[in-house]
Amino acid sequence: MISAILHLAFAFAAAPAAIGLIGKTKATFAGRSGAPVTQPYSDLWRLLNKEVVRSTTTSLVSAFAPAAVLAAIACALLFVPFASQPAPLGFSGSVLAFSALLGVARYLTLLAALDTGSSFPGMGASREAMFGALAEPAFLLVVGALCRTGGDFSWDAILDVQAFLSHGGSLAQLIGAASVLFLLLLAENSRVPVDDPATHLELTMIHEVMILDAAGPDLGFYLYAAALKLFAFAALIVQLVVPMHDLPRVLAMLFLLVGIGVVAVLVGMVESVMARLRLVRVPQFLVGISVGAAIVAAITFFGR
Amino acid sequence: MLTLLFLALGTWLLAALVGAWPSSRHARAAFVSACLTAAACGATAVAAVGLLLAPTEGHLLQLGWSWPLGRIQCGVDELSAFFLLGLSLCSGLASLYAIAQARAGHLSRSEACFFPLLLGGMAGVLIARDGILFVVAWEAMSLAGYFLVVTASANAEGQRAGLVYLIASHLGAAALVLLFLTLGAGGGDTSFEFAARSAAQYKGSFSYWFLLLFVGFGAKAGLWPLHTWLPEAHPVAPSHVSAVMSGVMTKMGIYGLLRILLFFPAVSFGTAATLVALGAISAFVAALHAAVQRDLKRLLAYSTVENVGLVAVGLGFGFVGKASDMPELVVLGFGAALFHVLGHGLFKGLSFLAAGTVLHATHTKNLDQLGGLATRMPRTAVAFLVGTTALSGLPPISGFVTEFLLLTCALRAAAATDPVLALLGLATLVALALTGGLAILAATKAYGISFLGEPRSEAARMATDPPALEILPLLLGAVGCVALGVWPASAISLLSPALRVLGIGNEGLPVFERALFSVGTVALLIIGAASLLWLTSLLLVWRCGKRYEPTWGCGYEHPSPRMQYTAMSYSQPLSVPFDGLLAERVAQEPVSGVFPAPASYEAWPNDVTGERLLLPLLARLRSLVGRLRLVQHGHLQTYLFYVFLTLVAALLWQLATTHP
Repeated sequence: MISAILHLAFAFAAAPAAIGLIGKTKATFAGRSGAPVTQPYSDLWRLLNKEVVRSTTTSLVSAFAPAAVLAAIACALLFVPFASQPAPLGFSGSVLAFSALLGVARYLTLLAALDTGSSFPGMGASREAMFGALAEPAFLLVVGALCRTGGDFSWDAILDVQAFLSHGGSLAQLIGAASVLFLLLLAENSRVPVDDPATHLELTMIHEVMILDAAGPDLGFYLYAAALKLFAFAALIVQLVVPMHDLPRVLAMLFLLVGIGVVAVLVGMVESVMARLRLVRVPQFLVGISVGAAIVAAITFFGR
Repeated sequence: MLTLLFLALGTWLLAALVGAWPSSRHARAAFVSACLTAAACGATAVAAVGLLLAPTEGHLLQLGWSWPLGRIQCGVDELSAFFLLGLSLCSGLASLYAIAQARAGHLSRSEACFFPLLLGGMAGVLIARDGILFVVAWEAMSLAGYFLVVTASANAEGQRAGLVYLIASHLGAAALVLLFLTLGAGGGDTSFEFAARSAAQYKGSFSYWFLLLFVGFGAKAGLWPLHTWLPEAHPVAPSHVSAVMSGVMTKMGIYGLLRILLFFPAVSFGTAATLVALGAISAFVAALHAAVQRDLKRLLAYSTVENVGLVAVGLGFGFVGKASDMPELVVLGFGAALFHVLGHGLFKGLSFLAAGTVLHATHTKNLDQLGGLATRMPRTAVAFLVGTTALSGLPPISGFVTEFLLLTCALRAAAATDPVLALLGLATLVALALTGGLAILAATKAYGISFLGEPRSEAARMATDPPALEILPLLLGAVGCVALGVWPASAISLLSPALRVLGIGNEGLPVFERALFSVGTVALLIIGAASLLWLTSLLLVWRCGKRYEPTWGCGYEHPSPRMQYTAMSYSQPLSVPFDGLLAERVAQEPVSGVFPAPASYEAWPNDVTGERLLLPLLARLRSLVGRLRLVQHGHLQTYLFYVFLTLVAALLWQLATTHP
């Protein structure tokens, strides 16, 4: 219980900084000094202390969804181990629980978007629902391939590099899986090239437009959930490629944080150097990720 | 317990008689009939639970009736009892709903008569231990369903749906007759006992059997590509009948498939893998079609096809596990299938009843005429939200249990050393993942377009919750779905006897129990965390205040409900990449010119399987059979000549055999 609370506290404390780091990277690339890395903390604090404004159209779904979305992402984080610490909750099949909880978050965000009765959030919901469905196979393929080598269906079995290699896994598999997960991170967390979190033109947005009508603490919860989701994906990627199980605990945690920082900078760089894809190209991008995942699966089968 | 079961059967027959009684006080007769039906469902539930919990060594009842082909045999083993439980729960909810309808005077004579007959027919299928009785009960069930479909709506669409249903059922029934004749060949006995004995000695190719089983039972269950009749017929029937048809009648196909496959000592790996593949294709194709529907009940019917596909995947993995000697795959696969029989019966029953309530309140099932019902029908909204969450296979509702078990099966298969099995596992994993994502799309559409936003029609604006009696079955169903999702391990004592029939002893159960326990943990976790954070948000709102304003329209001053995203626009992005499977038909009057005339755009979803696969196949069959018309003149003399020829041939045959 205590370890679970500490685990979540660590994620809640560190996650907004990753978002801040992405912003800082983008500012540096654009030649601006940009907001400090701690800006998201101030933003969240401001939002949590604001009056909430809800639409007269909405039902109880809009009131309940922000809390439940944040809860679902937080619960999903309980299945992800951090550095040398095992995950607070791990059982055979916990990877599936992880993806199902992300599904719950998506489901409720979609409903809350439709609850506003405006066509803008509806448009975002429609896109998110389809892109989410297309991203799902890539995720499960990669995870299925890794679990085949790791021997069990939980993140703990996959995310220990030395143990994974001693089970007969190859480095190519790990690097391939990490790359696929990085692309999935971009897709699932609504970053460029799938979505652009910075623009305020509703027609081009997906995640931002779904929560267009949320304000105050509601918006704060959604943004916190988004930060935590990005943090979870980044933590998975880092632990796939950086061996840190033999390090002392504090050093391993530091490694993890630095690694997540590197992933955040990478996301910022991607966002600085390329533009959003046209919407009709996004499904092709997502199918491309699935093909990448299939290649990782092929390496798992034939690469020994 | 068996006595109680027969009492229930008798009560259903009595209810049908009462419902059909040509009296002037029909409303009262219908009410009595509905109450009797519900009581019989209760009795069946008690009997089924009793049979599952009390250890028995097989009840078999033989009636020495002067049946033209021997005696009637009835019996109940744990597998039948489990399906009877599924039947009684879903039908119980539907009968409670029928009581509410009868109370309001909405239950027609045909519903009051044929609905209990439908239930009795299904129970008959489950307790038959004899090929002939099985087919008779099967026909009773199919025909009762047919009459319920055709009497529900007088328009051409309804009549066409009934006809399609009738043809599909009878193609299936023909395959069943052939199946039981082949099984009983050589003994002149149609009992299941004999069939099992003759099947045990069978050592040939399995494809003949599988084809018969697939056409016979797959058509009723709605497996791809024989599913096309289902979304036509199920939505036309009255809602409580749709609930039973989707929630229970499709499972009769699954039961039959399982029952006959169990006669054979072993099911080959190829057959089992085919079952997995067919199930996965059904699930994916149906989920895709469910996502693009505009009619609420049709959407739910497609989702039924999807869920039956999931059951078939589970069964297939069970048999795959048996064939490749992986005991954990066996228990997880069969466990997932049986759990879903119960879980899907409940949540699909609930969803159809909620759709029926919406239909009564607004007189439409067109999603584009609905909207904003959540604030107008709050109790229905809560129940339907539980139903759609279950449809999308998400925690903490019962649909997630099956999703989890099936994905675990696929992962385990993918981790197997046998490369063929591993590839099957990975392919199923991809199909299930896509299905899950599309199911979320369909479920958010079903709930979001109809219950959220602004009402799109005057009828939806004026809708209100129905009286408590009609809400009761919805709430009971919702409670059941949540209970199964939060505490799935509670079903283990009911599941394990049925699993024993499938060859899984107590030593195989722990892995299944562990999986169910994990699912329950996830469900409790998310409920706990969400409640905690909701309290936090309430606290924050209480501290900082709350205000209600109109939805932000990006500066536009006169928003109207018609500007909302519609059902078809919500799923429109799917129509581009999946155009080959959906073949959406579009009629449009595009905007053109400097002073454009009124423009319009309309799109209809379409089922490619029926149009491009089944119909051409049937057309070819018809032209083939058409050649037989050469002998059919319609002249009486010709037919007499045929009789004469047959007689001469028979005499010659007799002569040839007696005087060699």
